[in-house]
Amino acid sequence: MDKVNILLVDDQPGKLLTYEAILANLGENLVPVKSGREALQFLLKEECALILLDIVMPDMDGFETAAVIRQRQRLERTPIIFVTAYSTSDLDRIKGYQYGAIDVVFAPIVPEILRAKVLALVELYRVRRELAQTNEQLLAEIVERRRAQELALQAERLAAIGQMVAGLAHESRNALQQIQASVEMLSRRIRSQPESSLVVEIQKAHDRIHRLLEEVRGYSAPLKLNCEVYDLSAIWNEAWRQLSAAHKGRDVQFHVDTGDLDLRCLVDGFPIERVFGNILENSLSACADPVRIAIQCSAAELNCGGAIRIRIADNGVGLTDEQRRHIFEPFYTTKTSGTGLGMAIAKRIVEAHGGKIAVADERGPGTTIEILLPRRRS
Amino acid sequence: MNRSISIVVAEDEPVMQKYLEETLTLLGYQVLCLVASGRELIDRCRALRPKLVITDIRLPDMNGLDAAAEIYSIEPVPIIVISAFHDPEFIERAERNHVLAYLVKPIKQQDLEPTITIALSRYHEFHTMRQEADNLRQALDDRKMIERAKGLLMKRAGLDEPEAFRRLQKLARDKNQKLIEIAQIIVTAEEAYRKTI
Repeated sequence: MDKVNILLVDDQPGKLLTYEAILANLGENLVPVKSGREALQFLLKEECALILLDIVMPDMDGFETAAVIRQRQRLERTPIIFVTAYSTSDLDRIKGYQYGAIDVVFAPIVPEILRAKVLALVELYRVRRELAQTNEQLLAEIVERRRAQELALQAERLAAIGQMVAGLAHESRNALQQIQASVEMLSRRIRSQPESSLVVEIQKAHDRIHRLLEEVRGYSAPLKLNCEVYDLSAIWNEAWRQLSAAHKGRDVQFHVDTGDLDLRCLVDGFPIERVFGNILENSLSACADPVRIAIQCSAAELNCGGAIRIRIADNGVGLTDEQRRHIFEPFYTTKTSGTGLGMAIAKRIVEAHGGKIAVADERGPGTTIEILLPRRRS
Repeated sequence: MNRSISIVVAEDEPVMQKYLEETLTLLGYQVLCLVASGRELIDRCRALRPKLVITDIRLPDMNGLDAAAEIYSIEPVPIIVISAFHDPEFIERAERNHVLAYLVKPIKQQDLEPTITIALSRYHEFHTMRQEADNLRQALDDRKMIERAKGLLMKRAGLDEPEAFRRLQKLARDKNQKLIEIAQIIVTAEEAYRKTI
């Protein structure tokens, strides 16, 4: 058991020595100080199990010292034993202190009595300290359990939504197919008439609903990974190529700096392409020309394994604190079009690979998204 | 690409039937018939021997994938399925059932066109490869038969290997028959002898 501090306060060195002699065999850490001020200095930094406090001291007497000690919340319950000669006026004043664990020993001191009182209080202190620790642990456990419950509930809710969405997607696809078939046949029949522009609008609306539905379905469907070894640069290049409609004809520089880093990684290529695609798409819509997008890679470690850190930076408008907080939440969007699922999907995919994704901390123009992907290769 | 390719389509949705017929015709294919059930699809395929089958997975009487498996077992033919489901299990099953393409609704003409072209050419490749494999297997069987005939000649006529082979070649030339045919005659004759003795 670790020793506890017992603070001994008396202006007479001889008395301090006496207390030390009496209490030495308790095996605790005795701290003798010569004034109330010294006692307070010690208490500022250290804990103690109890304070043995002489009442009559020059400068700052025992009562004054006790009053200052009591003002501190941390020391509110630290037991104080006053040492006093038999004096009625002192006893009256002690009555004024009849709160907390204040005790009195009368000089001349009977060693057995002092030792017994100190021992009892030290034990009380130990028990109380233990209790406080247990309480803290219990509290932490409760918080942890509540968090787990909330997560479980959220997962359950997501699973239910997922199931609903899968059913919805299936039924909607049949309906969308009928719209598609009818629109296509209609457009063939009225191709050269002015009304054909209406058909184009219907087609666009159809495509939008279709895309929205697929995004929501993709987000809620269980993610099954088919991992193979890929060179990550091949994946982001493909993602970039897929976005050519969004950057063709614009002033765009797509700069990649990977050093000599081995970019091979065990991932499912298709969803990871989606991650890069979603990030790059955001960059393209956040930046006015000239657009500068830079990918930078470095070696990293994640859960004691090799990993690759990929930073994708743009020179766009950047994110507000609010946006930073919510960027990975589903249905959070700052764009007028889109589902608000892009970054939520990206996070889900990266985490399914055992990786991490975050907005990099640096301020300044533009946004930097940082991904950590474990290599997961032997 | 040969566009006068005959197709049988199974789809129970009237709008989709009309759409597929119109679109496939527009693309230059010949829609032999449109059916609305799996049973009909199998029957019509058996009778009409189309060059391509397109079927919805959800048919009123059976699963389009089961129909596809049955059709394929009668005669191999490229099959494209259309489905509103996007489940990996379905796609996996489709692969096992010799389905060459899996289209997820809603489909457009611009999806249909390349899918059919690719499915047909992939099937063609596959078919060619299978024929080559058959030819190789045949060649291997022939080689074994010729070896046996050669062995018999060496034993019966006391020839060494090149002489036995030359005699086989000469016989084929003289009788105007293939080497494998001569080899078969010799092996058969040997069997006949062995049985009389």
